[in-house]
Amino acid sequence: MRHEIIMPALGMSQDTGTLLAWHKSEGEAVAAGDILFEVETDKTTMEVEAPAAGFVVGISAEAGAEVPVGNVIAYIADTADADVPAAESAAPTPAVADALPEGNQVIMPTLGMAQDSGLLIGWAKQVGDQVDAEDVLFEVETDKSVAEVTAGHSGYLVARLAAAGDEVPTGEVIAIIAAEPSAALIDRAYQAGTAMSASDKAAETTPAASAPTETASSKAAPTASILPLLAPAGARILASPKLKRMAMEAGLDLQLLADAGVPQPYHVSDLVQLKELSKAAKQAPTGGTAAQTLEISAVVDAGAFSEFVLWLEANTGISNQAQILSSMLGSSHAAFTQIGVATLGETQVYQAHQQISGTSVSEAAEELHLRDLRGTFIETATLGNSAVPRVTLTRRGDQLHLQLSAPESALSAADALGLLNNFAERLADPMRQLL
Amino acid sequence: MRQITLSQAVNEALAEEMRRDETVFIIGEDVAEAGTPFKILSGLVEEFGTNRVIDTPISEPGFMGMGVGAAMTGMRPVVDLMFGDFIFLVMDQLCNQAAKTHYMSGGKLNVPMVLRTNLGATRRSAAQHSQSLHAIVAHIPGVKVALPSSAYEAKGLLKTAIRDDNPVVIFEDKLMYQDKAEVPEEEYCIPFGVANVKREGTDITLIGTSSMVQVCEAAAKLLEADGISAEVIDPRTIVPLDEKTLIESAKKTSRVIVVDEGHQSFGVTSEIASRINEKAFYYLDAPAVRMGAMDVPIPFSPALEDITVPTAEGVAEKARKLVRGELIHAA
Amino acid sequence: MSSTTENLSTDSILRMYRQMVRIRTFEDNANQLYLSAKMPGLTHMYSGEEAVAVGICEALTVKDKITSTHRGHGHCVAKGAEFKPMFCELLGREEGYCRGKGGSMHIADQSNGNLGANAIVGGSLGIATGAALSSKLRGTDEVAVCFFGDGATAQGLMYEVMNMAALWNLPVIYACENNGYSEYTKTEEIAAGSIVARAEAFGIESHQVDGQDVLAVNKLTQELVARARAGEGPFFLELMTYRYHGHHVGDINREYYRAKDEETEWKTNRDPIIRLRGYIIENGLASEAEIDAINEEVFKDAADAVAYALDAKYPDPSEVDMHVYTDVKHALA
Repeated sequence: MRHEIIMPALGMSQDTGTLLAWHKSEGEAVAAGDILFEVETDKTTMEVEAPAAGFVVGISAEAGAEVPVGNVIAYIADTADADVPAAESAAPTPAVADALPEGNQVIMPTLGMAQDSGLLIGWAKQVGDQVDAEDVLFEVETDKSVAEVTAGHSGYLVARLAAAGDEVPTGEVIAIIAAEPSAALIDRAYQAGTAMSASDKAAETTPAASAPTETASSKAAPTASILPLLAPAGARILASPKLKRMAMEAGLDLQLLADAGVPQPYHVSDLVQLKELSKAAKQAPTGGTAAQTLEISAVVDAGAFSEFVLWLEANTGISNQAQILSSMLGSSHAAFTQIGVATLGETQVYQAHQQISGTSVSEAAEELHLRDLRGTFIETATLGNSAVPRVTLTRRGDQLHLQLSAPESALSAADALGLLNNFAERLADPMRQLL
Repeated sequence: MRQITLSQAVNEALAEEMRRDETVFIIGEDVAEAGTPFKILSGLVEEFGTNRVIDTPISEPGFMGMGVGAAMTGMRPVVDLMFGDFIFLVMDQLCNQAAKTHYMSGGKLNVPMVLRTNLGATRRSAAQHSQSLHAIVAHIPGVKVALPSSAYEAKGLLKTAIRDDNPVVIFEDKLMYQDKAEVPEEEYCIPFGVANVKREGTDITLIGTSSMVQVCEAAAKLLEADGISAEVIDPRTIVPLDEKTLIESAKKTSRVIVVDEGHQSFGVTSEIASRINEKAFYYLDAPAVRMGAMDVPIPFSPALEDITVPTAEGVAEKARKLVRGELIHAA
Repeated sequence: MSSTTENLSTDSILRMYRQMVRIRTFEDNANQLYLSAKMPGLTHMYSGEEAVAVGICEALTVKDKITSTHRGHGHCVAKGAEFKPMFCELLGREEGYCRGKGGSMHIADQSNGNLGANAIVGGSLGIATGAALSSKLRGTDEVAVCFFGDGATAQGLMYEVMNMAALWNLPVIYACENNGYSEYTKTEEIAAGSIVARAEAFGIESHQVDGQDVLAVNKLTQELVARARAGEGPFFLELMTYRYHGHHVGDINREYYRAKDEETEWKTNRDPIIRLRGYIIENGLASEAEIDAINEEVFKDAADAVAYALDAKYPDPSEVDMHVYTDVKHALA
């Protein structure tokens, strides 16, 4: 029966141990309890006893080596020439390990008490060098102390499996000392998972390792399901979760309550009013009152229109400027014939016609509103929402200012631009109206 | 039906269970001839003898630990802790030992033990004899916690506790010992984890524990006068908690106030309100609101003490605000 | 070594030897598991104190109860536990005594009357005394032994329960394993006056005994157990012993509280296993070869159990909320 000699986890925070010295050499007989080797950890030196009687074989960590805790550094076998389980120890290791040369393995020792790894400070030997078991092989830093680790085996350093600066888990094989010199030397930085203890450790940590996976998947799920609820984020409306849910289910927009000036927060008791507002909004020809408003303005010389008015009165006797403007505005866009005209007071609706004389007072509802403020002191006016598109006409000095404001739902941007531009053209060159 | 006091109900429950099962015994300070300072246990030592109604020295951790050991070895001790405040003295035995034994032993060892103690302020007993510490116990997995709200519950829950194979802590409200309620002559047990809907309503749910059930019922009456229909629910045990009934009620009324005499922060009210906010969120028309004892040590002066605990008027006022849809605590 | 062994058969003595070797072997293997980073968490080694657990437990029946400590593997083995479920528990495997939920510091083995190890120093004093009260109330003759260390004598609970045990003549034996150190501090620095005198203050018959002499411990315990069964309890034992390892496996830097020479002295000249082995040979109770055979058998048993445990499966994650309550299969379902 073969016993594993393992770099012990002695201290409470120890990942590796520095193998200070072997008290037994390869092939030497030992009794259970004999001091096998000395380890330095947590700033103290410990003697490690043989767990059983037999012969020390397969020493794989030289004195001075910092070996990860849990790594096998030798065996106690029944015979002095027992097979060293190089193959066995490499067996659970995948491809890379198979490529490692045969020989005594040197592991990153466990020194401190809660130490999982050691920092390789530097190598004292080059690959290919002949080393003595007592030679310092490398230097390791752990738990605030730096330790020199001796080779532990005499022979030839055929592989260095970690480089200065590498943080190597304790127990990982970091060097191989072969009995014979070899041409196939390895000198590389530390690669996780290639040493023989790696598979052991993976198995040990399997339960823990599965946890993060679950966390990751459970994190993904709520993000997706929460997003739709966060979607109508634009304006923040204070409403109870129950009302929000019910409004969402019924396809109602809580903004209607806000636009109607209903004080927040909203509760289920506001649902009736919300339903009514929603119904009204749908029936209104202009759509929702909350819709985007188009604002377009234009400026033309006032002179042409003034002359046109005088000329028209002199030649046709038509002096009603509301009638004239209605005709011109109505001619600016095919969609509108009922033009409501107001100055400061009541609105009068005209049925617009290309011919000014054909434009007459109407009883129908207005489709387009013209507020003629030329005769007032008002220079600009933003008059809030109105149900139909509205053109405001003001005079500043020798210029006429035209402002079109319309709910987007009532007029497309192109139509609005066309409408105002046509109207401006007609005001700039009124004679066109007669053509 | 006959009416008896909560104190008599507890006494009856113990006597019935001790007659039924000879492994049941009482241990604690002045439980025998004295019958405890509240005289709850009067007469029991006469019937069952000093071997089953055991007076101890004033050594709470000691007799609590012995209760745990006796429970692990075939007995069903009912440990009497004179004041709920003394639970801090027995925390290791209760929370490190009793609560964890079944789990740590992989299910091999049981601790069928009852710890009877009390809660409740306004007895002018000051900060070390007035606390309601059930939330601290309920925080530890492995212990069940029952909060009887009347003589009827006190008897039925205690009988269930004694028959339970887990450690159970029962907190009786020390101000209710003389309160009478209808208690049937015939034997009954009240199952754990089954809430009692004391009163049905549609506008708001008032969840109350222990004596706060009375407070909630009184508040419901006040609200009735305002045309507000309040549902009152008594969870009866907080571990296990009948979450289903509470959530269903919250979904139905869409407004909840949780009332408990423990300190409000990190307490029973917080836990229940939090579960409702989590599980009934899209049915709530207002935040589930906590009303616990003020986060101050319980003061002695009546002028101060009385304002530290929730009252029916306070609960009703908060309920009106919720039903009216006033903005609650939204800064 | 105690010479008064008239009551002990050769079989009993050899059994005590085997049990001590089993404990030492269990600990050596547990230590190896820790050292080789195969065991999760920490563990506290009982090595050196074997005569205490074995001497006492060999005087008990299966029905007698014990409570144990964080340094509890020895009590567990001595009270009859098997290696396999113990190692499985140490490694957190499903087949452990506690299905991997307790670990090194909480092994309970109800079938053998072990009410469990306790990771709160002095935490089981109430439980053991309660078990004794229970025994009395149930009208059985079961005795409860409470194992605790010298460190626990600083806990107030001990005095509360000793007071009650003495008042009510409970069949409990307080076994104070004085291994000289309260964690990382010499006992003399934490214990004023005499430890046995504290028990005597309650009128409890108290004995100080060489805890490295298993026969002496066993003889005294047999007498006290018989008297406790007859209603003469409680009793208090201060067993002078020594822990070979540090407070726990990682406590390696011990020079600041105790000298290596002292450890060597105890290990070399006062080891309970070496002493009993010498006694057995001297008295012709068994040959060297027979004793070696016992050792080998135990070693193999332990090695097999370790190998088995290392390959045993972990509990299914679904077990995490099981055994919180007796009547709820999954507490969080």
